[in-house]
Amino acid sequence: MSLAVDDAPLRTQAPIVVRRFSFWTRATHAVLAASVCGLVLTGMPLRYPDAIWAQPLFAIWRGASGSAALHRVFAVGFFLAAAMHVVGLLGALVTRRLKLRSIFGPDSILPRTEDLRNIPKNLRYLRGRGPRPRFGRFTYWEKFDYFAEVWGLLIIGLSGLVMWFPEEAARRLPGWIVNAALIFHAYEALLAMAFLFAIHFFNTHLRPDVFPVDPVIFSGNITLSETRERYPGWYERLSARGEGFVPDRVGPSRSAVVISVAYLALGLVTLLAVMLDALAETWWYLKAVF
Amino acid sequence: MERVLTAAMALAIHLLVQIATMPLAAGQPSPEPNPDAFLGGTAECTVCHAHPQILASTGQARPELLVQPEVIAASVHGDFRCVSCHSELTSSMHAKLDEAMDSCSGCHTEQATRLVEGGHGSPDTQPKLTCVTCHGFHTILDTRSDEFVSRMDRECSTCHTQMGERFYGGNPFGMETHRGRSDVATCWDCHRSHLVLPVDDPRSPVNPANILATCRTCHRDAPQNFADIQVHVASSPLPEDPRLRAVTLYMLIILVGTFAFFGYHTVLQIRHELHRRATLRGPYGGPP
Repeated sequence: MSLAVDDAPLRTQAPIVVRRFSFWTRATHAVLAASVCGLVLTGMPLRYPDAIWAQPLFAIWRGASGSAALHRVFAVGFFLAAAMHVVGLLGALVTRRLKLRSIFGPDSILPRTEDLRNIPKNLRYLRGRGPRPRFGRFTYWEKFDYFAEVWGLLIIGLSGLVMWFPEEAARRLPGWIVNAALIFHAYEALLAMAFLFAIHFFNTHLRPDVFPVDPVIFSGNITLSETRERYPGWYERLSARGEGFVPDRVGPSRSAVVISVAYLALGLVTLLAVMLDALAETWWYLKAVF
Repeated sequence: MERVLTAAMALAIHLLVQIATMPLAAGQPSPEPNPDAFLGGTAECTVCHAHPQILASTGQARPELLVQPEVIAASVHGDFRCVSCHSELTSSMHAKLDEAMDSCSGCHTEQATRLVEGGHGSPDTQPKLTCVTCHGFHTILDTRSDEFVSRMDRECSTCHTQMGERFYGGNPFGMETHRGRSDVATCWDCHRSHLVLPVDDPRSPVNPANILATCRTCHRDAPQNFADIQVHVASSPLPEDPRLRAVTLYMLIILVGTFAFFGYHTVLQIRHELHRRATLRGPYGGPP
């Protein structure tokens, strides 16, 4: 796979790269991707049992009971990804790779007022009416991706636990919370699935510049020239510190691309199938209301 | 001509059945009829009753007259003879065939008594409800089977339409049952199967005074709050409970808002990258 910015013809040696995602971060992404796919494929037939694709899926999972049991197995994978992320953050803080001071700096994942200003600015740029904002290490939509995941993980994980252990939940919380958990879980599942398979897929992987997959999530490295164009603010601060190195290999291996294309295809097919039923249900609801 | 012949043959077989099973009429209906009775078995009856022509003889008005042997064989009463249940045949032909309760109560006395005692068997209940309304005529299934659970999912909501499948959205048990799961609670696990009583009856297991005990038949260590969990939540697309309505509206607003903004954003991003490729400029406005 060629990189978005293939500047190899301009130079004789391999491009200089910087480290964007650590090994631990990439491993967390892999565990999360695998368990989310499993959760969608075991959860969606439970949400839309009348859909034509629900019965074939139940046949694979050995009925609705098997589907529900496997859903809990994948949920453990999902919680593992969350735990890996927390462990990784704590580890980085302890080893001083992540400094407390930098958490509030311009290259942090935390939102800043600058991000709000960048939204209209970038929309103007995309319509060809202005310069591109000088993004730091993470753009506002990448920050949204991250916090949507954190928030979604909290909502869907906690509501899932409430339904998994209703007696324990009712011991600590009022009874209606168990009902609310089902509503939260069902809508958050639809929201998360559609956000990942429609917005995250197209915004991050399937967009023309990096089609079919953004290699940075496999290698962890991003070329310095690409950094200059995608994250100019981060690039300035990196070059001021003189960071960057020549990697053994740029981009993902062939098998990594094959696996991710399989994920992307599976996700898009699932999205289409589920959206047909979600829209049919919406239509039915609207008809019942009006 | 063919109709006359069919009618004649039907009459002949009926007479034969009537004569041959006469001794049985004196006794109670038995699940194991006298093996010496040479007629009254399934094969003899199905000579006519398995023949599609039998429907024509009543002008298609009584579809239940057609009885396929394989349907009987697949039911829990597969090894019964017709007269095990249709005992009245022996005395007065088909006179009392619609009184299923009398036939069933011969063996299922307890269930029949409880049905009459409860709301479903009360004479005020319209339409009149008997054993066969839920259990079926010839397709009687094992009540522990997945198939029965999924049949009852439809049967209960035939009358209790507000529990119809579409509104199961907020009903955790109904959702599971609707998916064909028999290992979770369904209608009769809380409402009882035969002695179905209205919620304000103090004997009803769903009466507020008894609800926690009913929960605890499965959820052994269910705490006090467990009784507040609503089992039938949605009676419209938006739950009636104001708290649950707020939760649903909150999620709907987030759902629509997120996709309105990021749908637009993604389309702009892709259009921008495609356009840049077409105009042969480098990414992000740089040189090619």
